[in-house]
Amino acid sequence: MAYYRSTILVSMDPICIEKGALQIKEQIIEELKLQKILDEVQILDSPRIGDPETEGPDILVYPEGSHYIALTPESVHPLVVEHFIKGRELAQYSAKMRDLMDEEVREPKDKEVRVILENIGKIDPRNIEDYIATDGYSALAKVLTEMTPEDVIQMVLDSKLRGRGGAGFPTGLKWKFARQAQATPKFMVCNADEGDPGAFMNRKVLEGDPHSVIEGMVIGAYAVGSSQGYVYCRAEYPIAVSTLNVAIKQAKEYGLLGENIMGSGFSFDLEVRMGAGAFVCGEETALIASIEGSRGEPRVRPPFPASKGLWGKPTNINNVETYANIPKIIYRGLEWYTSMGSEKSKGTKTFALAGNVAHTGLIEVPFGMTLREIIYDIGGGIKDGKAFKAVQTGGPMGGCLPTCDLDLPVDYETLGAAGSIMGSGGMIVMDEDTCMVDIARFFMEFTQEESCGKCVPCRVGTRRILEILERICAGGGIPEDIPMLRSLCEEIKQDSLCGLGQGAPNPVVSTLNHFLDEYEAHIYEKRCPAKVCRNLISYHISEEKCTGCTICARNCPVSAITGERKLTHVINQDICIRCGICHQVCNFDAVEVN
Amino acid sequence: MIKLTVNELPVEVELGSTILQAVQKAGFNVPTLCYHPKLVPYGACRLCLVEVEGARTMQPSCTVPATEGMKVHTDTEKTKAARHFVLSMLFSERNHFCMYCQSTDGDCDLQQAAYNEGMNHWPITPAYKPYHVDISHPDFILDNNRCIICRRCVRTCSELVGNHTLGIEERGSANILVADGNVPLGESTCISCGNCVQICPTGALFDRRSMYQGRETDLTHTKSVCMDCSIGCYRVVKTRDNRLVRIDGDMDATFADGLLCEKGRYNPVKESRVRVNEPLIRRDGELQPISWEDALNVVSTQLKAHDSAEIKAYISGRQSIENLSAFQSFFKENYKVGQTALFGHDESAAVSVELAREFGAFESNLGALVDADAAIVLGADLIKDYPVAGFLLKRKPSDLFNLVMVTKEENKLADNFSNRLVTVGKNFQQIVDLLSCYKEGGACPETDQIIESESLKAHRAYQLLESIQSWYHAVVIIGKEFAKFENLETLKKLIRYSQKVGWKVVILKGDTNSFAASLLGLELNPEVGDSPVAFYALGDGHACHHALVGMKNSGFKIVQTSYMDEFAELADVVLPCKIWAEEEGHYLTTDGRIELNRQALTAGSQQRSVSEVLTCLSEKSGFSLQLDWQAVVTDKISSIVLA
Ligand SMILES: Cc1cc2nc3c(=O)[nH]c(=O)nc-3n(C[C@H](O)[C@H](O)[C@H](O)COP(=O)(O)O)c2cc1C
Ligand code: SF4
Ligand code: SF4
Ligand code: SF4
Ligand code: SF4
Ligand code: SF4
Ligand code: SF4
Ligand code: FES
Repeated sequence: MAYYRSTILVSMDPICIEKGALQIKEQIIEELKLQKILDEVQILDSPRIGDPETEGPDILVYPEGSHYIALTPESVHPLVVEHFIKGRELAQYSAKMRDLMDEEVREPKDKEVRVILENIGKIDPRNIEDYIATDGYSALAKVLTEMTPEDVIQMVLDSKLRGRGGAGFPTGLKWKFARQAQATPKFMVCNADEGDPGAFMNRKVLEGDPHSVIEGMVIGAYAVGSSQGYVYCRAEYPIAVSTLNVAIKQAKEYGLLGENIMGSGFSFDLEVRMGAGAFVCGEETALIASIEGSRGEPRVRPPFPASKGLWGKPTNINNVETYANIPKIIYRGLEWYTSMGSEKSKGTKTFALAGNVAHTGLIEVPFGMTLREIIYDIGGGIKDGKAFKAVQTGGPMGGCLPTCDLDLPVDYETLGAAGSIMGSGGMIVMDEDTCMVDIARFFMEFTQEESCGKCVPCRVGTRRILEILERICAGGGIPEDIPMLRSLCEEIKQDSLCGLGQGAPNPVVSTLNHFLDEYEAHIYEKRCPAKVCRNLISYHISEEKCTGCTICARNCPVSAITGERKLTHVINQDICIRCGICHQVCNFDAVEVN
Repeated sequence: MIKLTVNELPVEVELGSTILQAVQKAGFNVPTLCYHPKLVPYGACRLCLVEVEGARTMQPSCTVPATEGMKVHTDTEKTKAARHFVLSMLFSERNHFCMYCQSTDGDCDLQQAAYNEGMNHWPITPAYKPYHVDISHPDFILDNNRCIICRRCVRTCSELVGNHTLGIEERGSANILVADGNVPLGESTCISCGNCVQICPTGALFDRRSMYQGRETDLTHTKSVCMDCSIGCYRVVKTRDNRLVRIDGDMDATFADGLLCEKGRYNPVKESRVRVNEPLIRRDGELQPISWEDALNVVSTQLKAHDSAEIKAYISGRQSIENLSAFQSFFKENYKVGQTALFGHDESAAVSVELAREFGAFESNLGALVDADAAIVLGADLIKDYPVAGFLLKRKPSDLFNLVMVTKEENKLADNFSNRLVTVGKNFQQIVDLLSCYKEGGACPETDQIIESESLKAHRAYQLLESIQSWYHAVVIIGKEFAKFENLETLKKLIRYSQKVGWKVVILKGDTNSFAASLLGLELNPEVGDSPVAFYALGDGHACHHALVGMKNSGFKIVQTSYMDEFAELADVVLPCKIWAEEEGHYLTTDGRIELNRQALTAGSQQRSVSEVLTCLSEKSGFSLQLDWQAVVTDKISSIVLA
């Protein structure tokens, strides 16, 4: 019998078929053939998987249990390559990832504010006049006619604006350093790499209000004395790139960009550069290397980009959202701006709220709001009435904060002190069904794959941690693992070259600190309390509840379930791959997890 | 000066020094792996981490500048823990079972660092998997199992050599060293300079011929200079039991970062010609052994038997100044033979000497390339003939450098540059005119036509021409195709113009010692004809086809050579010669440096140097040789080359 690495179930619901399920199946077969792995993948028809109306045509892939929905002919090639060749979930079509990425910008809830997101959905991003009609480019006019570069820098310093890219470095100070740098030319760079999985704050701004970023950059260029700028945008954002290019063209036509801006004699040109899509390219020195055409790897700092950046010249790098704040600060004034936020972090921050929370999506809140307010008042609490377990802020290098941290105000210092980070605004809420060891493993897998490999602590250290976590999740944990994890984490944090390595241990350290009991259950009792780790659970069919409807048996991808119609069904544990489908499909809750 | 403390000890270092330099100056040591003094500090391996008071994380001493008042610690619990961590990570990454490694016991920086830290076991069991061993390259082997991904080789290949062959593929722990994206080294763009092999700190990249032939300390190191072209790179000749084991670049050298090219590093080790071990004479059409005494008598008799004006004598440019000088004294001064010349067709050294008559010391040196932002290469194939000079250009950033080049044949140098105006053909004059036209602020009306008709490899040509005003440091390099007496007037015009606009000029002076030969008054680029008696001091050089043709029609042919080559096959008398490594001698480089090639090997009892032979012959002829070359050569150099 052939050995199959994976099984694909294709939904053959009539609606799915109508939507092209048969062609998709043929195409998958062709593509697998092309990739020379057809003999390793079993392709089966399934009566129905997800909701065919909204999700069809869809497929399920085992053993991973990935549910890909709304497939199109174009999706098949990337899907096969990503999932089977590269071994990663293709986010765009993944039901789970889509859940995480719910993108709606809703009407703001009571506690939300709209500063950065103000114009989104309200103006036509491809029409500069819309932006101008909302006082767009008034700040630039003010800067060019009334303010010296030093005035601008002072104002940004006074606004206490801090970089929204993650580290929260005071923007005014950064500009001051770039202004002070002697060498010329100087470059302005906008970091629109946004690599955090599930984050899309920057993309929304670029797609919905590109001129706010352009205006911020021109003002910054005037302040630091730069005549050339680049927006480094990830290639996965084609709409953002094209919107930006339209906006740049229009701004040039209106004399707001390019030679002699607004007749002031100040010139600044802007180009869009496309990123290669690696997460680490968002790190500023890696981004510089990437623009220069080298492999996107971080470089040591010092020298900092402000003195030696792009092509060895002084370079100022800020995040999309940081630039978008600038026109508002200048035009509406310090008093208005500094009235929002906490002591050390002024203004607002956008977050991509995701995970097991009732309302996911893009939100904007003033700094200083508590996690509880964000999750419960804005996010509507935990989905399906489950209990809150943890919230992870700041993307893959953030820490997981438990219930006792829910009343912490969200700002750079507080999150840092609690063992997490602000990051660029990812916020993933986890409910009681989440296994924290598995979560740590998941994030470590991500950072390990995204590590550029330049420095030893991150390249090798994260690999060793991942191996230990995988072993614990698979039931092979030993008591020495915990001190070993702690010491590896400490060294990686201390010794790594860039923020990726320095932050990579955060998910592990924070879960070790707050959820040690779960690690111990895995290690000592070989038990996964959240019933997630596949090797530590088993499925059984309850005699009392089973009605013998056969739905589980029909859906089991490996035919592990036997039983006559109307009689209790039984799972053969030797065959079962613990995919959990029977648990999902049983209408009588007869399939139980131990 | 900057004041700081290292382990509480105050130390002062110059502005711009790294912590590492301060640590060393204070008399302490931190181990390093990815750091190399010739490479841009990289900060990747993290073995050199130190504690700096007030810093959030551990700091790589090899990259972080020392600053005023800094308090550095190299020997705390934290630094020790960091070193242990880094080393155990590296040992856990791939296969480092040292006993099977060719670099074990002294030649591996990783192993040494572990010993120094007192590590004698692996805290984490290696979870390594087998990696590819690339044996496709003729000169060296890449064993990925020993690679620690420090990228010293990658950086050498791009930062120093400018060849960009090596690179790292994949992310995270999947990092792997590859050539050209992933091509076997032997099929890659590698030019076999071997600099990456020399710089590798572990047993990952190693030399094929010298592997398992002993540790560095088992070999005798002789600091010397390369005479495979007139650049004169510094090298260390490594021998054992009077056998050449390996040649390395001299990394202590200031010139060209101690780099070598394939010719300088591998050619002598790859030498496969058969040595001439004793004097031979042609009897009955066959070459047969003869004693030195008899051989010299035959030669002496033949020389005396003919009108000296009819005799011709040739010598190889690879011969030391001592030998050239003996040759010139014997044949030219004393014997006054009809022709005393160097093999080959390259008269550039003589042209340079001639030009100096008018311009005085007009030449700069190749060191000028280090800061150059533009180069105008006229009639030289740097890649083939002067590879290390080629490296100095190739490694320039492709976007920020301007290259103008006119050569007879295409060469690959142009491929490195985005801004280039490269033409194949011989129209030096036209290109020089074009440049001066733009330099003067005008635009040349024929530009389009020139670019379209002449340039095969122009790229952003207008951008280059228009930027000509802002070149701050341009170097004009003139090679043998242009540096000819027939171009003297054009050359003069170019030099005058260069002096006016501040372009530096370097003339590449032919073969290894052509410059010295020219100063000694030997003829370059001779008309080779037949003669009743001809003397060929070929040594370890390679036969020149042109001279061979002349030789075929000559009468009595005396050849002093190290190898049984085509010259020897045609000779009437063959005199065995020492090779470069067997005698000490001086060389005069293109840049006007007088360098000493030291003896590294002992020749066989019968092999003699050219000057030894000529000294014996002069005794037989009753005159003594004037061997004081120092005065002649040293005096003249300064009138040509600027210090
Ligand atoms: C691994 C890594 C990934 C990063 N990714 C991003 C990113 O996607 N977008 C971003 O703006 N900053 C990112 N950063 C932060 C940048 O290095 C840099 O701090 C930021 O662009 C500076 O802008 P700001 O001062 O406006 O925050 C990342 C940093 C690290 C270490
Ligand atoms: S910490 Fe990781 S991502 Fe950053 S330089 Fe080191 S290996 Fe690369
Ligand atoms: S028995 Fe249930 S959990 Fe096991 S393989 Fe079948 S469907 Fe999956
Ligand atoms: S490379 Fe160094 S550490 Fe590795 S096996 Fe060889 S000698 Fe040992
Ligand atoms: S031998 Fe030279 S060209 Fe080849 S890979 Fe090494 S450094 Fe590069
Ligand atoms: S081959 Fe040598 S120099 Fe190159 S990365 Fe590996 S260990 Fe470093
Ligand atoms: S460039 Fe010339 S001197 Fe230098 S190593 Fe090569 S052959 Fe020898
Ligand atoms: S030697 Fe300093 S980081 Fe490698």
